[in-house]
Amino acid sequence: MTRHRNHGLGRLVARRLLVLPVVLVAVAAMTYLLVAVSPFDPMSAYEAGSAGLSAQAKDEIRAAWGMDAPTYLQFLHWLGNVLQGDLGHSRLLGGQPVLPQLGARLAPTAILVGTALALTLVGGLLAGVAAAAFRDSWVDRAIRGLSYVSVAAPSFWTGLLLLWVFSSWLGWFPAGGSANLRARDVGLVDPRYLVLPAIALAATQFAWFAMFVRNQLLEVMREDYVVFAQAQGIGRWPVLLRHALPNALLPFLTLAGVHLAEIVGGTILVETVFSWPGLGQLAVEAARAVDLPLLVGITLLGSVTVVLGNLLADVCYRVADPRIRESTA
Amino acid sequence: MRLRWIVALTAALSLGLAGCSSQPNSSAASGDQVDRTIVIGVGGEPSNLNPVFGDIYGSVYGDHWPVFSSLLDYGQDLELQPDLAAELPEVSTDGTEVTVKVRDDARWHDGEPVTAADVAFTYNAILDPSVATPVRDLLFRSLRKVDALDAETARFTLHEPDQAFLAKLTTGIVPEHVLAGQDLNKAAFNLAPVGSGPFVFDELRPGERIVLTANPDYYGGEVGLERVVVTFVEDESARVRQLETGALDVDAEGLGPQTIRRFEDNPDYRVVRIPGDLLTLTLPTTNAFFKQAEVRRAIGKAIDRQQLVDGLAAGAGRVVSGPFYPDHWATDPSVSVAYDPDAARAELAAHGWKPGPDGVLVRDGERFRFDLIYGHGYAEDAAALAIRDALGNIGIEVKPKALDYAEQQKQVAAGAASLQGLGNAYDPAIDVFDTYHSSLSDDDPSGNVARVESRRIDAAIERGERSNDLAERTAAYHELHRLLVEHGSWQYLMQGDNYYAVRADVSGVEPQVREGHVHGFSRGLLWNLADWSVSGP
Amino acid sequence: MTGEGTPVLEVRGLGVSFRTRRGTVAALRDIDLQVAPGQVQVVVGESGSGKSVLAHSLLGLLPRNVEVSGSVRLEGEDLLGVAPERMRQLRAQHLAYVPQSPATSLNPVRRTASLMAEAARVKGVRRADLGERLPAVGAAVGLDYGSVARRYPHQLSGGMQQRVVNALALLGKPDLVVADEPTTGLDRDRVTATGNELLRLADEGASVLVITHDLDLAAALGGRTAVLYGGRLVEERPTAALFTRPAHPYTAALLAAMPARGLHPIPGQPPELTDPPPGCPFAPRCERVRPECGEQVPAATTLPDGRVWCHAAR
Ligand SMILES: Nc1ncnc2c1ncn2[C@@H]1O[C@H](COP(=O)(O)OP(=O)(O)OP(=O)(O)O)[C@@H](O)[C@H]1O
Ligand SMILES: [Mg+2]
Repeated sequence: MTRHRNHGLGRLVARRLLVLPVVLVAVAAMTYLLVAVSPFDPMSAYEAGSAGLSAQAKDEIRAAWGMDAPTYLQFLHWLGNVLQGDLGHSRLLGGQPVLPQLGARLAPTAILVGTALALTLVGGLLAGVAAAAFRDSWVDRAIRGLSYVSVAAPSFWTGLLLLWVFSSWLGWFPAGGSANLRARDVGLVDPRYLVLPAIALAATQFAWFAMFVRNQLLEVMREDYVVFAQAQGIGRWPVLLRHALPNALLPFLTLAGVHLAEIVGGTILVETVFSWPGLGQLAVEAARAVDLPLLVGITLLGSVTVVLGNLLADVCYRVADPRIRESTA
Repeated sequence: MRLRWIVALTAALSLGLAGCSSQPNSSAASGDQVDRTIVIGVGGEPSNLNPVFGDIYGSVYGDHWPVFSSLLDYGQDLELQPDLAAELPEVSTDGTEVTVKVRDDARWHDGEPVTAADVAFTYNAILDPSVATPVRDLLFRSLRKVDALDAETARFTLHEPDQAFLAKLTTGIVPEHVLAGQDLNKAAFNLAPVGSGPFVFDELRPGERIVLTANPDYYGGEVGLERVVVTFVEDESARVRQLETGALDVDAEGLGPQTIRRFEDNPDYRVVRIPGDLLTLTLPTTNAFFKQAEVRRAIGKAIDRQQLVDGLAAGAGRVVSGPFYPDHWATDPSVSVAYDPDAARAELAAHGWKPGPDGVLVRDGERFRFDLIYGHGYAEDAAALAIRDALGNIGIEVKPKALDYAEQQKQVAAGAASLQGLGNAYDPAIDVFDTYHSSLSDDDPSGNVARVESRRIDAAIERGERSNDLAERTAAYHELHRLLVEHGSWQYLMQGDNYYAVRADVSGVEPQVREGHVHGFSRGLLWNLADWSVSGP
Repeated sequence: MTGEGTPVLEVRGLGVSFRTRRGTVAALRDIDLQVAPGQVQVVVGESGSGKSVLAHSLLGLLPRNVEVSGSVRLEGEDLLGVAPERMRQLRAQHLAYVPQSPATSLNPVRRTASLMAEAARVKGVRRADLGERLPAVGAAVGLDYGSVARRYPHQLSGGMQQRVVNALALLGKPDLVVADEPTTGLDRDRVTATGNELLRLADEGASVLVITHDLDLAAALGGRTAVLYGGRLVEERPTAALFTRPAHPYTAALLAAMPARGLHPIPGQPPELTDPPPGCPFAPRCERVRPECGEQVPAATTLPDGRVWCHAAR
């Protein structure tokens, strides 16, 4: 039976990974298409603060960057280079190759997203379980209230509030950035600088997840198998944690992908508020400047993250739910 | 009640995460060395550090930042002075040849000597059509070629005389021996430059900071700061927070007149004021409403410029009427535009514009109503609303419309009225031709967007450009100033100030006068960064 | 009343109603029932008559949207007001429960062995004894523990699931066993064996309350039988006597509707519980209906061998 299961999972993973390149090419093509119809003009980046470039100057710059060809040809050219492992060069990043530049800029965002994700999952789980366990008590009301507020509050608002309280007022945490600006030989990020932005980013999903856990738990608590577990005299917490929780969390795995995408998207605002050196702001810049190789690079990175995140969630779902596990085989 | 929960929970979470965190501001922690390091906050991350592609903050002036040095440089009064050049360049009598001697003691940060070949390489790179730089078009249309006559002498050959040419020799010079044979558009140098200026490029942490260290072999003498960290903080309030928590020493991006107040009474900071852009209302002649000069002038008269100064610049600004800064030699101090709404109404009535039932002027069933294009921003909004109110007062309905730069350009080229920050603190020849000469009045959005087509204006521009004589040039530009006021398509309204906050223990901060735009490094606040020093820890 | 010693279970005036969006559902009303140690109490009734609600009341498993009146005492201790932790103890040490639907009562993400071991530990089986005890209780209900241990609930047949929950009831030393349809999906010989297991528990001194549709099982169990109709007790007498000479018209109709007795359906619909009409709940369908039946709920009439709630029985 074990071999059977692995076979099913292996097939799932293989299928998704085979589809991934197709998805990525489609995403890249979509990005080219969107940019082709977008109102942004690549020349505006060259003209900012000036009286405007002559038509000839614009033509020369376009030609230098291969932007004089029709968009579909630019796309095909790009695709040809990608097959040789070259994602193109970015005008916004000093004309440097996109791939290594993205690699260098990915780390702070990845650390932020990863921490926020962990905070969301741990915090949301604790809060959701607590709210369900003490249903209708002050604990529950407090957690629900907090969740409504944080759902309603945009992440920049949460971010500013955190900064005001913990940085300006209490002085516990720095006011932005990812490391002490005066320090030499700084590592990737300084944990003290990570705390507030990670909380602000986690707050965007925390409420949803906490309420999901709570409501799902309360629903599952009415299931026959939970009632039966209680009927046998199993304690309140083991019933909650070992019988109700795993079942309550199963549907989350099918939704995790969507929310991963939202967290990734949420970095744009949070990185701005906290001056966090990441990809979020760069993505906006790339779109404005119509820096296609960079924009496509960032978009693809996001797509890969979301696709792989979804795949991971699906694999977990199948491993976690024996009923599905079997039917995939 | 709910707020309390947020605070309590986030406090609990962050406490749990951080354990006991030490003071984030105590920068001396864990062996960080802080002496004579200064942290400067700027707005965005530069996309290119190579001066061939323009100033790292996208300025049109072919500027340089202190990793680089240039042939000439501006002094505190914006007077041109030699930098890499041994002396001011020699201009041939016909004005088409400029010869420059390069000083013999300048060295690249890698130890190689700086030569005339590097100068020729830099400018020829700018002229190379395959190099994607806007500077070629914006500054060097008059330049034909550059030759290195010998190791110390470079000669610029021009297509035609260019009065402003010397002012353009402030472009940072790049090393030929590092860049020769490379595709400049994609050179690794663009994000890891080697220069010959007072500071050596040390590190670029993407999205966060550029680190510079003092150049011990700088030909210009000892550099006061040991280390300069330039950090990119887009958001104004984020910069303020970082200043106030001590993470930043200097805000070089500029703070709004409201924001700066909190630093004015604070003994830890010095507030630096530098005159800024001219707020300008452009009324293109291709727009049906603005065809007659009388109508354009009437609009100008309807705006109380002093009230704009009081309202938008909190009183700390100057009324202007022409394109040059108020104390610039090219400005005719006798010219002004009086606020006279009654005269404006009468002028418009004479052209058939009569108040309709709702007070808005009507002519042949058409209402006097136009869109006012401007750029996004809090200050910009306030200015646009002020114009709306002023013109509403004489029965013109104005619809302010904030747009992105590219869209602004498009609409303005199509004849829309616009509100912009403009101005020239340097030689008028740098841009008056592009802005007002009738030869550039075409559908191309570059140059003469207001479609000024006046022989007398053309003549004044040409006189000002051709002459070598300052008195003659002054007369020409004073004439231009008067003619533009008469023409009315460019309503120069007021000049506000730019405000910067600098920690009080930084010494040597002597801003340049009359700096219009926020240029980042080589002008305005930071122009003499090499002379700055930090007194305390 | 039943004369077999002090009752282990004593239900007095029990009323259970659910607050739902469509009104209050009076699922049980005025239930009086006592079960002595060693006694088997069978409960029968149509679908929806409140049998499972009764079972849940005894174990404190009623949902939150409920209003309960009366009392339920186990060995004199009132179960309705007991603290949650005490209730848990009682369930673990003094109660055993077989749920009506084993298919949904076994946690889908846990293996059989893990479910059984957890229950056994709670019921006081020592860890060291699990290896012996689990196969033993399995064998007692005809379950090959070795072959189901590694399986998930959905991999078991309906009958196997039933036997798993039955086996769980045998783990401790319960004072009260509540079995809600414990023979669903079982073959005939397994039904008999299950009946024997329940009787054995009674022999060991437990009170055994069995809800069933299976008249043969009821007959085999003997003891006493209570009949529920529309949330009310209508008859409560020794099983054998009730089956041969039903005292209540509904009992008679119920017996006639059983497959073994020729499947004569009872005309009409079971009563509406949301807005119960006054009087005897069976009145609208009763062949022997009298005028007072529609007005007044009949009080219990004590018979020599039990009770019946019927105006006609007076
Ligand atoms: N949680 C609940 N909320 C509302 N009504 C309920 C609830 N549980 C049971 N009921 C109602 O109580 C009545 C009795 O239900 P119960 O499950 O006891 O029937 P039963 O006699 O066990 O029937 P069956 O033989 O089909 O199992 C039914 O009308 C049912 O709809
Ligand atoms: Mg039932």
